[in-house]
Amino acid sequence: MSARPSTAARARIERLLWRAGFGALPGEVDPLARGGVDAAVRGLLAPRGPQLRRAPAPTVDGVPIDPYNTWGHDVLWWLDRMVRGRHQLVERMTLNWHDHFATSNHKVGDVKLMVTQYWTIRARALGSFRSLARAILRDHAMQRFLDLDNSDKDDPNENFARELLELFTLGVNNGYTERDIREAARALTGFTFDWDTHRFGYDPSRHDGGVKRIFGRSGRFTPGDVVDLAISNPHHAPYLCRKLWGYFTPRPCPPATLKRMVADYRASGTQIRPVLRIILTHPSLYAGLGEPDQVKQPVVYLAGMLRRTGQTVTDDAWAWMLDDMGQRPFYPPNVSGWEQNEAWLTTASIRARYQAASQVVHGLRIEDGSISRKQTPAKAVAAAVARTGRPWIGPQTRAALARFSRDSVAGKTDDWQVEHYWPERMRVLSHMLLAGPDGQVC
Amino acid sequence: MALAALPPQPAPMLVYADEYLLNGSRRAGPSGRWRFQLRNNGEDDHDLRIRRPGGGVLASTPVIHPSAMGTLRVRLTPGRYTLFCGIADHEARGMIWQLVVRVPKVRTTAP
Repeated sequence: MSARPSTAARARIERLLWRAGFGALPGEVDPLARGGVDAAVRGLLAPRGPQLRRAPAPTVDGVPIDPYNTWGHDVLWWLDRMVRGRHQLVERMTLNWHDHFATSNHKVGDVKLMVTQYWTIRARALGSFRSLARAILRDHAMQRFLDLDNSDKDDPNENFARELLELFTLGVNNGYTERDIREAARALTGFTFDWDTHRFGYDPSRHDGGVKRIFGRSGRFTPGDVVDLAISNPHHAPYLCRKLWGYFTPRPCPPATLKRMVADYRASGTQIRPVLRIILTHPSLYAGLGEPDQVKQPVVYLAGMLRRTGQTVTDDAWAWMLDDMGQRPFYPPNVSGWEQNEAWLTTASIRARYQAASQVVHGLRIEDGSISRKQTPAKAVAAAVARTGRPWIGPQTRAALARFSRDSVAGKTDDWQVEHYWPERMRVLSHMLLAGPDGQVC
Repeated sequence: MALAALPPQPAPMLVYADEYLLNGSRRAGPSGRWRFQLRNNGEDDHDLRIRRPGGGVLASTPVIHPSAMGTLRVRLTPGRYTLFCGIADHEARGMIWQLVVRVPKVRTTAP
Protein backbone atom coordinates (compact mmCIF):
# COMPACT_ATOMS: atom_id res chain seq x y z
CA MET A 1 0.00 0.00 0.00
CA SER A 2 1.29 3.48 -0.86
CA ALA A 3 2.24 5.81 1.96
CA ARG A 4 -0.22 8.53 2.87
CA PRO A 5 0.94 11.82 1.37
CA SER A 6 1.83 14.73 3.62
CA THR A 7 -0.83 17.10 4.91
CA ALA A 8 0.69 19.93 2.87
CA ALA A 9 0.67 17.87 -0.32
CA ARG A 10 -2.97 16.96 0.24
CA ALA A 11 -3.87 20.59 0.95
CA ARG A 12 -2.29 21.72 -2.32
CA ILE A 13 -4.31 19.20 -4.32
CA GLU A 14 -7.48 20.10 -2.41
CA ARG A 15 -6.89 23.73 -3.32
CA LEU A 16 -6.20 22.88 -6.95
CA LEU A 17 -9.31 20.74 -7.32
CA TRP A 18 -11.56 23.40 -5.83
CA ARG A 19 -10.17 26.22 -7.93
CA ALA A 20 -9.71 24.35 -11.20
CA GLY A 21 -12.80 22.17 -10.83
CA PHE A 22 -15.66 21.48 -8.47
CA GLY A 23 -13.86 19.86 -5.56
CA ALA A 24 -12.45 16.39 -5.09
CA LEU A 25 -14.35 13.15 -5.22
CA PRO A 26 -13.98 10.80 -2.26
CA GLY A 27 -10.59 9.12 -2.53
CA GLU A 28 -9.33 11.40 -5.28
CA VAL A 29 -6.90 13.55 -3.32
CA ASP A 30 -4.32 11.07 -2.04
CA PRO A 31 -3.25 9.57 -5.38
CA LEU A 32 -2.92 13.02 -6.91
CA ALA A 33 -1.06 14.33 -3.86
CA ARG A 34 1.48 11.53 -4.24
CA GLY A 35 2.12 12.64 -7.84
CA GLY A 36 2.39 16.35 -6.96
CA VAL A 37 0.83 19.52 -8.32
CA ASP A 38 2.68 19.58 -11.65
CA ALA A 39 1.45 16.13 -12.61
CA ALA A 40 -2.09 16.94 -11.45
CA VAL A 41 -2.09 20.11 -13.55
CA ARG A 42 -0.86 18.16 -16.58
CA GLY A 43 -3.78 15.80 -16.12
CA LEU A 44 -6.27 18.65 -15.83
CA LEU A 45 -4.93 20.32 -18.96
CA ALA A 46 -5.04 17.16 -21.08
CA PRO A 47 -8.00 15.08 -19.89
CA ARG A 48 -8.71 11.76 -21.51
CA GLY A 49 -11.56 9.28 -21.61
CA PRO A 50 -15.31 9.78 -21.25
CA GLN A 51 -16.56 13.21 -20.26
CA LEU A 52 -18.77 11.85 -17.48
CA ARG A 53 -18.04 9.30 -14.80
CA ARG A 54 -20.26 6.33 -14.23
CA ALA A 55 -22.88 7.55 -11.82
CA PRO A 56 -26.65 7.83 -12.05
CA ALA A 57 -27.88 10.35 -14.64
CA PRO A 58 -29.95 13.22 -13.24
CA THR A 59 -33.58 12.61 -12.36
CA VAL A 60 -36.44 14.43 -10.67
CA ASP A 61 -38.98 12.28 -8.85
CA GLY A 62 -37.35 9.28 -10.48
CA VAL A 63 -37.90 10.58 -14.03
CA PRO A 64 -34.96 11.65 -16.24
CA ILE A 65 -34.63 15.41 -16.49
CA ASP A 66 -35.82 17.17 -19.65
CA PRO A 67 -33.67 20.31 -20.05
CA TYR A 68 -35.34 21.60 -23.21
CA ASN A 69 -38.96 21.17 -22.23
CA THR A 70 -39.14 21.73 -18.47
CA TRP A 71 -38.39 24.96 -16.64
CA GLY A 72 -35.33 24.68 -14.40
CA HIS A 73 -34.03 21.44 -15.87
CA ASP A 74 -31.49 23.32 -17.98
CA VAL A 75 -29.81 24.33 -14.73
CA LEU A 76 -29.92 20.75 -13.44
CA TRP A 77 -28.44 19.53 -16.70
CA TRP A 78 -25.42 21.79 -16.32
CA LEU A 79 -25.09 21.11 -12.60
CA ASP A 80 -24.98 17.41 -13.39
CA ARG A 81 -22.11 17.93 -15.81
CA MET A 82 -20.17 19.66 -13.05
CA VAL A 83 -20.95 16.88 -10.60
CA ARG A 84 -20.29 13.90 -12.87
CA GLY A 85 -17.74 15.55 -15.14
CA ARG A 86 -14.37 13.83 -15.35
CA HIS A 87 -12.69 16.67 -17.26
CA GLN A 88 -12.95 19.06 -14.36
CA LEU A 89 -10.85 21.93 -15.70
CA VAL A 90 -12.75 21.85 -18.99
CA GLU A 91 -16.05 22.08 -17.12
CA ARG A 92 -14.75 24.82 -14.84
CA MET A 93 -13.39 26.84 -17.73
CA THR A 94 -16.69 26.42 -19.56
CA LEU A 95 -18.33 28.03 -16.54
CA ASN A 96 -15.64 30.76 -16.48
CA TRP A 97 -16.16 31.50 -20.17
CA HIS A 98 -19.92 31.56 -19.60
CA ASP A 99 -19.20 34.30 -17.07
CA HIS A 100 -16.83 36.04 -19.49
CA PHE A 101 -19.14 35.81 -22.52
CA ALA A 102 -22.17 36.17 -20.27
CA THR A 103 -25.39 35.31 -22.11
CA SER A 104 -28.72 34.96 -20.30
CA ASN A 105 -31.65 32.83 -21.26
CA HIS A 106 -33.81 35.48 -19.63
CA LYS A 107 -33.43 37.32 -22.90
CA VAL A 108 -32.53 34.50 -25.30
CA GLY A 109 -35.61 32.47 -24.36
CA ASP A 110 -34.43 29.25 -25.97
CA VAL A 111 -32.74 26.50 -23.97
CA LYS A 112 -31.56 24.75 -27.14
CA LEU A 113 -29.58 27.84 -28.12
CA MET A 114 -28.12 28.09 -24.63
CA VAL A 115 -27.08 24.44 -24.56
CA THR A 116 -25.57 24.82 -28.03
CA GLN A 117 -23.55 27.72 -26.67
CA TYR A 118 -22.41 25.53 -23.78
CA TRP A 119 -21.03 22.98 -26.29
CA THR A 120 -19.48 25.73 -28.42
CA ILE A 121 -17.60 27.04 -25.40
CA ARG A 122 -16.75 23.64 -23.97
CA ALA A 123 -15.14 22.47 -27.21
CA ARG A 124 -12.76 25.46 -27.09
CA ALA A 125 -12.49 25.96 -23.33
CA LEU A 126 -8.75 25.25 -23.14
CA GLY A 127 -7.79 25.89 -26.76
CA SER A 128 -7.44 28.96 -28.94
CA PHE A 129 -9.11 32.14 -27.69
CA ARG A 130 -9.29 33.41 -31.26
CA SER A 131 -11.28 30.33 -32.25
CA LEU A 132 -13.49 30.73 -29.18
CA ALA A 133 -14.20 34.41 -29.84
CA ARG A 134 -14.95 33.75 -33.51
CA ALA A 135 -17.34 30.96 -32.51
CA ILE A 136 -19.06 33.25 -30.01
CA LEU A 137 -19.54 35.83 -32.76
CA ARG A 138 -21.53 33.26 -34.73
CA ASP A 139 -23.29 31.77 -31.71
CA HIS A 140 -27.03 32.27 -32.05
CA ALA A 141 -27.68 32.69 -28.33
CA MET A 142 -25.10 35.50 -28.21
CA GLN A 143 -26.42 37.02 -31.43
CA ARG A 144 -29.87 37.24 -29.91
CA PHE A 145 -28.62 38.36 -26.50
CA LEU A 146 -26.62 41.29 -27.85
CA ASP A 147 -28.92 42.11 -30.74
CA LEU A 148 -26.50 41.12 -33.46
CA ASP A 149 -29.14 38.98 -35.14
CA ASN A 150 -30.81 41.84 -36.94
CA SER A 151 -28.14 44.48 -37.10
CA ASP A 152 -28.50 46.08 -40.48
CA LYS A 153 -26.20 48.39 -42.43
CA ASP A 154 -28.92 51.06 -42.28
CA ASP A 155 -29.16 50.84 -38.50
CA PRO A 156 -26.13 49.10 -36.98
CA ASN A 157 -26.70 47.91 -33.43
CA GLU A 158 -23.68 48.68 -31.23
CA ASN A 159 -24.35 46.25 -28.39
CA PHE A 160 -22.14 43.38 -29.51
CA ALA A 161 -19.39 45.69 -30.79
CA ARG A 162 -19.30 47.51 -27.45
CA GLU A 163 -19.16 44.37 -25.33
CA LEU A 164 -16.68 42.70 -27.64
CA LEU A 165 -14.21 45.50 -26.94
CA GLU A 166 -15.27 46.48 -23.43
CA LEU A 167 -15.74 43.05 -21.86
CA PHE A 168 -14.68 40.21 -24.15
CA THR A 169 -11.29 41.33 -25.45
CA LEU A 170 -9.89 44.66 -24.19
CA GLY A 171 -11.49 45.91 -20.97
CA VAL A 172 -13.35 49.11 -20.17
CA ASN A 173 -11.79 52.18 -21.85
CA ASN A 174 -8.70 50.18 -22.65
CA GLY A 175 -7.31 50.77 -26.12
CA TYR A 176 -10.39 51.75 -28.10
CA THR A 177 -12.59 54.77 -28.72
CA GLU A 178 -16.29 55.35 -29.21
CA ARG A 179 -15.57 55.69 -32.89
CA ASP A 180 -13.96 52.25 -32.92
CA ILE A 181 -17.19 50.85 -31.46
CA ARG A 182 -19.33 52.56 -34.07
CA GLU A 183 -17.09 51.43 -36.90
CA ALA A 184 -16.93 47.89 -35.52
CA ALA A 185 -20.73 47.84 -35.32
CA ARG A 186 -20.86 48.69 -39.03
CA ALA A 187 -18.49 45.83 -39.80
CA LEU A 188 -20.59 43.44 -37.72
CA THR A 189 -23.81 44.01 -39.70
CA GLY A 190 -25.45 41.33 -41.84
CA PHE A 191 -26.52 38.64 -39.39
CA THR A 192 -30.24 37.90 -39.52
CA PHE A 193 -33.06 36.22 -37.67
CA ASP A 194 -36.34 35.47 -39.41
CA TRP A 195 -39.17 35.85 -36.90
CA ASP A 196 -41.55 33.75 -39.00
CA THR A 197 -39.28 30.77 -39.58
CA HIS A 198 -37.15 31.28 -36.44
CA ARG A 199 -34.01 30.81 -38.54
CA PHE A 200 -30.70 32.60 -38.10
CA GLY A 201 -28.58 33.53 -41.11
CA TYR A 202 -26.27 36.02 -42.75
CA ASP A 203 -27.39 38.28 -45.57
CA PRO A 204 -24.51 39.99 -47.41
CA SER A 205 -26.94 42.59 -48.77
CA ARG A 206 -27.55 43.77 -45.17
CA HIS A 207 -23.83 43.99 -44.40
CA ASP A 208 -22.13 47.34 -44.60
CA GLY A 209 -19.44 46.70 -47.20
CA GLY A 210 -17.93 50.17 -47.00
CA VAL A 211 -14.53 51.15 -45.66
CA LYS A 212 -14.32 51.32 -41.84
CA ARG A 213 -11.57 52.64 -39.63
CA ILE A 214 -10.89 50.58 -36.50
CA PHE A 215 -7.87 51.04 -34.19
CA GLY A 216 -6.36 53.34 -36.80
CA ARG A 217 -6.57 50.77 -39.59
CA SER A 218 -8.85 51.11 -42.59
CA GLY A 219 -10.46 48.41 -44.66
CA ARG A 220 -13.70 46.80 -45.79
CA PHE A 221 -13.81 44.81 -42.58
CA THR A 222 -16.16 41.85 -42.10
CA PRO A 223 -17.50 40.50 -38.77
CA GLY A 224 -14.62 38.04 -38.45
CA ASP A 225 -12.12 40.83 -39.08
CA VAL A 226 -13.46 42.75 -36.09
CA VAL A 227 -12.73 39.85 -33.77
CA ASP A 228 -9.24 39.48 -35.23
CA LEU A 229 -8.55 43.20 -34.91
CA ALA A 230 -9.63 43.19 -31.26
CA ILE A 231 -7.46 40.20 -30.46
CA SER A 232 -4.50 41.78 -32.26
CA ASN A 233 -4.87 44.96 -30.19
CA PRO A 234 -1.85 45.22 -27.83
CA HIS A 235 -4.19 45.73 -24.85
CA HIS A 236 -5.94 42.40 -25.40
CA ALA A 237 -3.43 39.87 -24.08
CA PRO A 238 -2.74 41.59 -20.72
CA TYR A 239 -6.46 42.12 -20.17
CA LEU A 240 -7.40 38.52 -20.88
CA CYS A 241 -4.51 37.00 -18.91
CA ARG A 242 -5.28 39.15 -15.88
CA LYS A 243 -8.93 38.19 -16.10
CA LEU A 244 -8.07 34.49 -16.29
CA TRP A 245 -5.81 34.87 -13.28
CA GLY A 246 -8.70 36.39 -11.34
CA TYR A 247 -10.86 33.33 -11.87
CA PHE A 248 -8.39 31.21 -9.90
CA THR A 249 -7.09 33.45 -7.15
CA PRO A 250 -8.16 36.73 -5.54
CA ARG A 251 -4.49 37.61 -4.95
CA PRO A 252 -3.00 40.24 -7.27
CA CYS A 253 -1.08 38.92 -10.23
CA PRO A 254 2.66 39.64 -9.90
CA PRO A 255 3.79 41.83 -12.84
CA ALA A 256 6.50 39.35 -13.88
CA THR A 257 3.94 36.55 -14.00
CA LEU A 258 1.57 38.63 -16.08
CA LYS A 259 4.41 39.37 -18.47
CA ARG A 260 5.18 35.67 -18.78
CA MET A 261 1.52 34.78 -19.36
CA VAL A 262 1.18 37.45 -22.03
CA ALA A 263 4.35 36.29 -23.77
CA ASP A 264 3.25 32.65 -23.80
CA TYR A 265 -0.28 33.58 -24.89
CA ARG A 266 1.01 35.58 -27.82
CA ALA A 267 3.75 33.13 -28.78
CA SER A 268 1.26 30.27 -28.84
CA GLY A 269 -1.19 32.11 -31.07
CA THR A 270 -3.78 32.90 -28.34
CA GLN A 271 -3.75 29.43 -26.79
CA ILE A 272 -5.35 29.30 -23.36
CA ARG A 273 -3.59 26.18 -22.03
CA PRO A 274 -0.15 27.77 -21.56
CA VAL A 275 -1.70 30.59 -19.56
CA LEU A 276 -3.63 28.18 -17.39
CA ARG A 277 -0.48 26.12 -16.81
CA ILE A 278 1.30 29.19 -15.43
CA ILE A 279 -1.64 30.08 -13.18
CA LEU A 280 -2.30 26.59 -11.87
CA THR A 281 1.34 25.93 -10.99
CA HIS A 282 1.99 29.38 -9.55
CA PRO A 283 2.90 29.59 -5.83
CA SER A 284 0.21 32.27 -5.33
CA LEU A 285 -2.45 29.67 -5.99
CA TYR A 286 -1.18 27.62 -3.06
CA ALA A 287 -0.51 30.50 -0.68
CA GLY A 288 -2.39 30.62 2.61
CA LEU A 289 -3.50 27.00 2.60
CA GLY A 290 -4.41 27.41 6.25
CA GLU A 291 -6.47 30.50 5.50
CA PRO A 292 -8.40 29.99 2.24
CA ASP A 293 -9.23 33.32 0.62
CA GLN A 294 -11.49 32.53 -2.31
CA VAL A 295 -15.25 32.38 -1.75
CA LYS A 296 -16.74 29.41 -3.58
CA GLN A 297 -19.15 30.40 -6.32
CA PRO A 298 -22.62 29.03 -5.47
CA VAL A 299 -22.59 26.46 -8.23
CA VAL A 300 -19.07 25.38 -7.28
CA TYR A 301 -20.17 25.17 -3.66
CA LEU A 302 -23.18 23.04 -4.51
CA ALA A 303 -21.53 20.78 -7.09
CA GLY A 304 -18.63 20.34 -4.68
CA MET A 305 -20.89 19.26 -1.83
CA LEU A 306 -22.63 16.75 -4.06
CA ARG A 307 -19.33 15.39 -5.37
CA ARG A 308 -17.72 15.11 -1.95
CA THR A 309 -20.68 13.32 -0.44
CA GLY A 310 -21.07 10.94 -3.37
CA GLN A 311 -24.47 12.32 -4.42
CA THR A 312 -25.90 13.12 -7.83
CA VAL A 313 -28.67 15.38 -9.12
CA THR A 314 -32.05 13.97 -8.07
CA ASP A 315 -34.01 17.05 -7.10
CA ASP A 316 -35.24 20.10 -8.99
CA ALA A 317 -34.94 22.19 -5.82
CA TRP A 318 -31.32 22.84 -6.79
CA ALA A 319 -32.44 25.15 -9.59
CA TRP A 320 -34.22 27.62 -7.31
CA MET A 321 -31.69 27.16 -4.52
CA LEU A 322 -28.94 28.25 -6.91
CA ASP A 323 -31.10 31.23 -7.80
CA ASP A 324 -31.40 32.09 -4.10
CA MET A 325 -27.65 31.68 -3.66
CA GLY A 326 -27.15 34.19 -6.48
CA GLN A 327 -25.94 32.07 -9.37
CA ARG A 328 -28.17 30.32 -11.83
CA PRO A 329 -26.10 28.94 -14.72
CA PHE A 330 -27.48 30.07 -18.11
CA TYR A 331 -28.89 33.16 -16.35
CA PRO A 332 -26.06 35.58 -15.47
CA PRO A 333 -27.37 38.89 -14.13
CA ASN A 334 -26.04 40.95 -17.05
CA VAL A 335 -23.41 40.93 -19.78
CA SER A 336 -20.68 41.59 -17.20
CA GLY A 337 -21.32 38.20 -15.64
CA TRP A 338 -21.32 37.56 -11.93
CA GLU A 339 -19.41 39.53 -9.35
CA GLN A 340 -16.95 37.21 -7.66
CA ASN A 341 -15.53 36.45 -4.23
CA GLU A 342 -16.99 38.50 -1.32
CA ALA A 343 -19.88 39.61 -3.53
CA TRP A 344 -21.27 36.10 -3.25
CA LEU A 345 -21.85 36.47 0.47
CA THR A 346 -24.94 38.38 1.56
CA THR A 347 -27.33 37.69 4.41
CA ALA A 348 -29.81 36.27 1.90
CA SER A 349 -27.32 34.13 0.00
CA ILE A 350 -25.79 32.74 3.20
CA ARG A 351 -29.23 31.62 4.29
CA ALA A 352 -29.69 29.92 0.93
CA ARG A 353 -26.31 28.22 1.30
CA TYR A 354 -27.38 26.90 4.71
CA GLN A 355 -30.55 25.57 3.13
CA ALA A 356 -28.62 23.89 0.33
CA ALA A 357 -26.22 22.26 2.80
CA SER A 358 -29.22 21.06 4.77
CA GLN A 359 -30.57 19.39 1.64
CA VAL A 360 -27.21 17.72 1.03
CA VAL A 361 -27.13 16.44 4.61
CA HIS A 362 -30.64 15.09 4.07
CA GLY A 363 -29.20 13.12 1.16
CA LEU A 364 -26.66 11.52 3.50
CA ARG A 365 -29.59 9.62 5.07
CA ILE A 366 -28.37 9.66 8.65
CA GLU A 367 -31.37 7.91 10.18
CA ASP A 368 -32.44 7.82 13.80
CA GLY A 369 -31.15 4.69 15.51
CA SER A 370 -28.25 4.34 13.09
CA ILE A 371 -25.44 5.35 15.49
CA SER A 372 -24.15 3.45 18.50
CA ARG A 373 -23.97 5.00 21.94
CA LYS A 374 -20.32 3.97 21.97
CA GLN A 375 -19.44 6.74 19.53
CA THR A 376 -17.25 9.23 21.39
CA PRO A 377 -17.40 12.98 20.70
CA ALA A 378 -14.04 12.80 18.93
CA LYS A 379 -15.15 9.88 16.79
CA ALA A 380 -18.37 11.69 15.94
CA VAL A 381 -16.42 14.65 14.58
CA ALA A 382 -14.10 12.34 12.66
CA ALA A 383 -17.07 10.46 11.20
CA ALA A 384 -18.79 13.70 10.16
CA VAL A 385 -15.59 14.89 8.52
CA ALA A 386 -15.40 11.61 6.59
CA ARG A 387 -19.08 11.71 5.58
CA THR A 388 -18.71 15.21 4.17
CA GLY A 389 -15.63 14.41 2.12
CA ARG A 390 -12.98 15.71 4.51
CA PRO A 391 -13.53 19.45 3.99
CA TRP A 392 -10.95 21.94 5.14
CA ILE A 393 -11.60 23.23 8.67
CA GLY A 394 -9.58 25.72 10.66
CA PRO A 395 -8.58 25.28 14.30
CA GLN A 396 -11.38 27.50 15.65
CA THR A 397 -14.04 25.53 13.83
CA ARG A 398 -12.49 22.25 14.88
CA ALA A 399 -12.60 23.35 18.52
CA ALA A 400 -16.20 24.52 18.22
CA LEU A 401 -17.26 21.25 16.62
CA ALA A 402 -15.50 19.28 19.37
CA ARG A 403 -17.36 21.29 22.03
CA PHE A 404 -20.68 20.78 20.32
CA SER A 405 -20.00 17.09 19.86
CA ARG A 406 -19.43 16.72 23.58
CA ASP A 407 -22.16 19.02 24.89
CA SER A 408 -24.97 18.09 22.51
CA VAL A 409 -25.33 14.57 23.88
CA ALA A 410 -24.19 15.16 27.46
CA GLY A 411 -26.61 13.52 29.88
CA LYS A 412 -28.72 12.02 27.11
CA THR A 413 -28.30 8.35 27.94
CA ASP A 414 -31.82 6.89 27.73
CA ASP A 415 -32.28 4.53 24.79
CA TRP A 416 -34.71 6.84 22.99
CA GLN A 417 -32.31 9.75 23.44
CA VAL A 418 -29.38 7.80 22.04
CA GLU A 419 -31.56 6.70 19.15
CA HIS A 420 -32.36 10.32 18.21
CA TYR A 421 -29.67 12.61 19.58
CA TRP A 422 -26.64 10.62 18.44
CA PRO A 423 -27.69 10.76 14.77
CA GLU A 424 -28.87 14.33 15.27
CA ARG A 425 -25.39 15.21 16.44
CA MET A 426 -24.02 13.68 13.25
CA ARG A 427 -26.51 15.59 11.12
CA VAL A 428 -25.64 18.90 12.78
CA LEU A 429 -21.89 18.27 12.63
CA SER A 430 -22.18 17.41 8.94
CA HIS A 431 -24.26 20.49 8.30
CA MET A 432 -21.82 22.76 10.11
CA LEU A 433 -18.92 21.30 8.18
CA LEU A 434 -20.65 22.02 4.88
CA ALA A 435 -22.46 25.25 5.72
CA GLY A 436 -20.17 26.87 8.30
CA PRO A 437 -17.77 29.68 7.43
CA ASP A 438 -14.93 27.29 6.58
CA GLY A 439 -17.12 25.49 4.06
CA GLN A 440 -17.66 28.67 2.03
CA VAL A 441 -14.04 29.21 1.08
CA CYS A 442 -11.33 27.30 -0.74
CA MET B 1 -36.39 -6.90 -8.23
CA ALA B 2 -39.16 -5.61 -10.45
CA LEU B 3 -39.40 -1.86 -10.54
CA ALA B 4 -42.78 -0.29 -10.01
CA ALA B 5 -43.96 1.29 -13.25
CA LEU B 6 -44.04 5.08 -13.12
CA PRO B 7 -47.34 6.68 -14.14
CA PRO B 8 -47.17 8.03 -17.71
CA GLN B 9 -45.86 11.56 -17.66
CA PRO B 10 -47.53 14.41 -19.55
CA ALA B 11 -45.62 15.65 -22.57
CA PRO B 12 -43.82 18.77 -21.30
CA MET B 13 -43.31 21.89 -23.34
CA LEU B 14 -41.65 25.14 -22.39
CA VAL B 15 -42.77 28.34 -24.08
CA TYR B 16 -41.00 31.67 -23.78
CA ALA B 17 -42.87 34.91 -24.37
CA ASP B 18 -41.22 38.18 -25.30
CA GLU B 19 -42.24 41.26 -27.29
CA TYR B 20 -43.47 39.99 -29.75
CA LEU B 21 -42.29 36.46 -30.09
CA LEU B 22 -43.50 33.13 -28.77
CA ASN B 23 -40.82 30.48 -28.73
CA GLY B 24 -41.80 26.87 -28.02
CA SER B 25 -39.43 24.07 -27.11
CA ARG B 26 -41.03 21.63 -29.55
CA ARG B 27 -42.93 21.60 -32.80
CA ALA B 28 -44.62 18.21 -32.46
CA GLY B 29 -45.50 15.55 -29.95
CA PRO B 30 -47.84 12.70 -29.05
CA SER B 31 -51.54 12.91 -28.33
CA GLY B 32 -52.52 12.64 -24.68
CA ARG B 33 -51.75 14.73 -21.64
CA TRP B 34 -49.60 17.83 -22.02
CA ARG B 35 -48.07 20.29 -19.63
CA PHE B 36 -47.20 23.75 -20.95
CA GLN B 37 -45.03 26.13 -18.97
CA LEU B 38 -45.07 29.74 -20.12
CA ARG B 39 -42.18 31.90 -19.03
CA ASN B 40 -42.63 35.61 -19.60
CA ASN B 41 -39.22 37.01 -20.54
CA GLY B 42 -40.70 40.28 -21.73
CA GLU B 43 -41.55 43.62 -20.21
CA ASP B 44 -45.30 43.43 -20.90
CA ASP B 45 -47.97 41.05 -19.64
CA HIS B 46 -48.60 37.97 -21.77
CA ASP B 47 -50.63 34.78 -21.65
CA LEU B 48 -50.74 31.46 -23.44
CA ARG B 49 -53.80 30.24 -25.26
CA ILE B 50 -54.27 27.09 -27.29
CA ARG B 51 -56.49 27.14 -30.38
CA ARG B 52 -58.05 23.84 -31.46
CA PRO B 53 -57.41 22.51 -34.98
CA GLY B 54 -60.97 23.43 -35.94
CA GLY B 55 -60.88 26.81 -34.24
CA GLY B 56 -61.93 27.96 -30.78
CA VAL B 57 -59.77 28.30 -27.72
CA LEU B 58 -59.20 25.04 -25.86
CA ALA B 59 -57.39 26.44 -22.83
CA SER B 60 -55.70 29.55 -21.53
CA THR B 61 -53.39 30.62 -18.74
CA PRO B 62 -54.22 33.67 -16.68
CA VAL B 63 -52.25 36.80 -17.47
CA ILE B 64 -48.57 36.14 -16.76
CA HIS B 65 -46.63 39.14 -15.58
CA PRO B 66 -43.02 39.87 -16.60
CA SER B 67 -40.49 37.39 -15.14
CA ALA B 68 -43.33 35.14 -13.95
CA MET B 69 -44.39 31.73 -15.10
CA GLY B 70 -47.70 29.98 -15.72
CA THR B 71 -48.62 26.36 -16.26
CA LEU B 72 -51.35 24.87 -18.41
CA ARG B 73 -52.39 21.21 -18.34
CA VAL B 74 -54.53 19.92 -21.19
CA ARG B 75 -55.30 16.75 -23.11
CA LEU B 76 -54.61 17.04 -26.82
CA THR B 77 -55.93 14.83 -29.62
CA PRO B 78 -54.14 14.59 -32.97
CA GLY B 79 -54.19 17.73 -35.06
CA ARG B 80 -52.49 21.07 -35.63
CA TYR B 81 -52.80 23.44 -32.69
CA THR B 82 -51.96 27.11 -32.54
CA LEU B 83 -50.38 28.54 -29.41
CA PHE B 84 -50.70 32.28 -29.12
CA CYS B 85 -50.80 35.23 -26.78
CA GLY B 86 -54.36 36.48 -26.48
CA ILE B 87 -53.55 39.89 -25.06
CA ALA B 88 -54.33 42.92 -27.23
CA ASP B 89 -52.82 42.53 -30.71
CA HIS B 90 -49.92 40.32 -29.60
CA GLU B 91 -50.96 37.41 -31.82
CA ALA B 92 -51.06 39.63 -34.90
CA ARG B 93 -47.65 41.01 -33.97
CA GLY B 94 -46.09 37.57 -34.12
CA MET B 95 -46.72 35.84 -30.78
CA ILE B 96 -47.78 32.57 -32.33
CA TRP B 97 -46.45 29.00 -32.39
CA GLN B 98 -47.67 25.94 -34.28
CA LEU B 99 -47.77 22.54 -32.61
CA VAL B 100 -48.58 19.30 -34.38
CA VAL B 101 -49.98 16.51 -32.23
CA ARG B 102 -49.79 12.99 -33.61
CA VAL B 103 -50.91 9.53 -32.61
CA PRO B 104 -48.07 8.25 -30.44
CA LYS B 105 -45.74 5.72 -31.97
CA VAL B 106 -46.17 2.25 -30.48
CA ARG B 107 -42.91 0.93 -29.14
CA THR B 108 -42.22 -2.73 -29.61
CA THR B 109 -39.71 -4.60 -27.56
CA ALA B 110 -37.47 -7.21 -29.05
CA PRO B 111 -38.17 -10.67 -27.59
